[in-house]
Amino acid sequence: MSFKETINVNTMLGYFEGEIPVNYQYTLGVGGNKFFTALMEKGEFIASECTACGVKTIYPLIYCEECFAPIEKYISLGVEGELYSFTECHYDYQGNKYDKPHVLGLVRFPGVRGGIFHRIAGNMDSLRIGMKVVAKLKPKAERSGTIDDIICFETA
Amino acid sequence: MGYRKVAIVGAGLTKFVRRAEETGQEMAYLASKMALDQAGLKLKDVEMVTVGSAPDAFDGVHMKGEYLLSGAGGNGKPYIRNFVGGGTGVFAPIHGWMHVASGACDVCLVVCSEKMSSCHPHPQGAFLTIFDHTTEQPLKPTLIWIFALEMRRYMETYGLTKADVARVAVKNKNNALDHPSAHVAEAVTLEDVLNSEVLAEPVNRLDISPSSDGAAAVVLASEEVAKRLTDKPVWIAGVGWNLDTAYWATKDLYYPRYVEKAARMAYEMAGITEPHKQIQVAEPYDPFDYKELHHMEGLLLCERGEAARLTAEGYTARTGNLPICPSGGALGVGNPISATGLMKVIEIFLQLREEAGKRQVPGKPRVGLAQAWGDLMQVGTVIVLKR
Amino acid sequence: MKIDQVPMKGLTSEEYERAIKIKWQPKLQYAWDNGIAIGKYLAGLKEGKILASQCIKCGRIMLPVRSFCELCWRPTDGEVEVKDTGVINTFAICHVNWDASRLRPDEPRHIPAVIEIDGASKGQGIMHVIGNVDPKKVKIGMRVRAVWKPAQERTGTITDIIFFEPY
Repeated sequence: MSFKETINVNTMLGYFEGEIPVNYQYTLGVGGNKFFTALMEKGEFIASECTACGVKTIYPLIYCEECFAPIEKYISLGVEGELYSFTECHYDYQGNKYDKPHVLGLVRFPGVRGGIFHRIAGNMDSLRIGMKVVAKLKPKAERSGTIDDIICFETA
Repeated sequence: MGYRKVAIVGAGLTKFVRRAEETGQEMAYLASKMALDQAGLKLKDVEMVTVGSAPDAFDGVHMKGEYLLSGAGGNGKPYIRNFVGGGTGVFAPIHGWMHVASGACDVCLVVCSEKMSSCHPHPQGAFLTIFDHTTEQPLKPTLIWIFALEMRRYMETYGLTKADVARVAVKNKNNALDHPSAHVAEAVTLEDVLNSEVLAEPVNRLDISPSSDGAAAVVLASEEVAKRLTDKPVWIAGVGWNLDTAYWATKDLYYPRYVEKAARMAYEMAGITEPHKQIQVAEPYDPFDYKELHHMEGLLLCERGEAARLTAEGYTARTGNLPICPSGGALGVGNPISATGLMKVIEIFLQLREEAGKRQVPGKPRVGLAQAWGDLMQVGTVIVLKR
Repeated sequence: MKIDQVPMKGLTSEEYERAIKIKWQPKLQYAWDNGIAIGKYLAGLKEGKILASQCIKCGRIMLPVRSFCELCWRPTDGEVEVKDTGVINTFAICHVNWDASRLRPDEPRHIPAVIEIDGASKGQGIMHVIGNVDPKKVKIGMRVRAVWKPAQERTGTITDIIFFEPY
């Protein structure tokens, strides 16, 4: 028996349609709560710092990825970081063209593992890897403890 | 048989809860850290990691194995996720055993984590597509249908009543009162179970384990390392796993032949010839109360059709001749799928070390087993432990 | 270290309601191809026939239909028509929907069953639903027959059989 590719227009094949009708509600977790509560209330980024081996991580964890010690110390990083890399996207995940290109980047903080992936303001020509960028936040009253409390990062 | 000896040298568990604030990653960490601490090891001592976790659609995290990685201590290590449906929790330590028994490493961390509470309106929604998409899904089957079908066939075959089966729920839920991880331990009576809401005849609400969030972990070590770490290693004496056809409606629903095959594989490796005499404490998978009976029979711990009578006679109570689910099982402690199976392995580990506290069964048991089950009533996973 | 103090406390319903949660409604839609064997089975249903696969090596007449005999590990030897009657192997009476919501008292109960079809090998069953009967009267071992949609309404799906009814 071998595969018989006798029908080559797939809409001619019989099929049954279905779906997985679930939705999800994710809690932020203990580390996530610390980050987003601080973002919402104080307008700053929090990282975890391992008192055993010194590794700092954003987003903050409750454990050190490196040595597995429980985290006891959380530090503020403010809202300024460095642009580690960036890209310009023209299509959404379904292949529809955006009205205007989206510029996205990864922002890192000196001496800290990890980073924040977010929208970057400005056009591609104005951006350089390593440049200082600062988060533009929603007004405090409008923040809800989600990643969209950050509107974007812009040139510092 | 050419395998290296493998021991469990440490274990960790979170509480099993309805809704965890912790993420799946954080839960994996809490269990893993506890297991390493108990073994007296640091993360750097762990050479390989294997993680067992149920379908991604439960947590709503695609590539969940990769997501759980750092909480399970897998960063930058040979790491892999294993999955055989509801049988995963006992398969995970079997998978870890392969790593160590083969000589690939001396220390392997085995972690199971499940966050079911993310899934709305009910985790069953993630299961709708396990049925054949063309010949079954149009009839709108749900998971509870097939368990009700299996339970009825089992009861009919051996002439069992609802009360015969419900005694398992009573035993396990009461056993769980002594388990620190228990989610919904309740001092229930037979009347409570029989009078609980009928969901899908013959299944009542209290015949079913509650879905939970939770995590579990064990540390496995080779003989040389284990003897250096502890004077109470618990050896993995035999492992077995087996899967039957996905044409579930064509099977003998009253008897889990695949569990028997998995058990025979594990018994042969462990040198067990009369399991009903040689196994001294067992944790068969009990997501529904009838499953414990079904599995006792499949595991050859009693004659077919006899498990309900033994339960009624107290033979399977914590103080009985063959304690079954002294932990409280999935019915009592809760059912975060893969973590439940590993919780059962941990219970046998503690029982054999005589560290089970109030749950300790008498008689200083030397040999025990844990078993899990899952998929479309298809998979049996069995592990035999010896002191 | 003893396992008597396990971490994590869990959220109460109120704490969960108050907690910040990220919500996601995925749109997971699929179109599953019928495949070769099931495609023939569905064509049979459209004509009011139940087809089963046969394997001349082991002699089994198999339901559900399949392209290969999983025991002999060889292609099956075509399809044969079996009867549209059978015996209830097991059944359930379901009062809840998949999302755990309860059926209203006036809604008919779901009665899923495993039905061993006459003419197929022993034990070769399919899942379908039982209808046109008082749920209390359904028994294991009961003989049932397919109740078909009228020929012009059949579309070649498993629901061309509306349900099986006792006779």
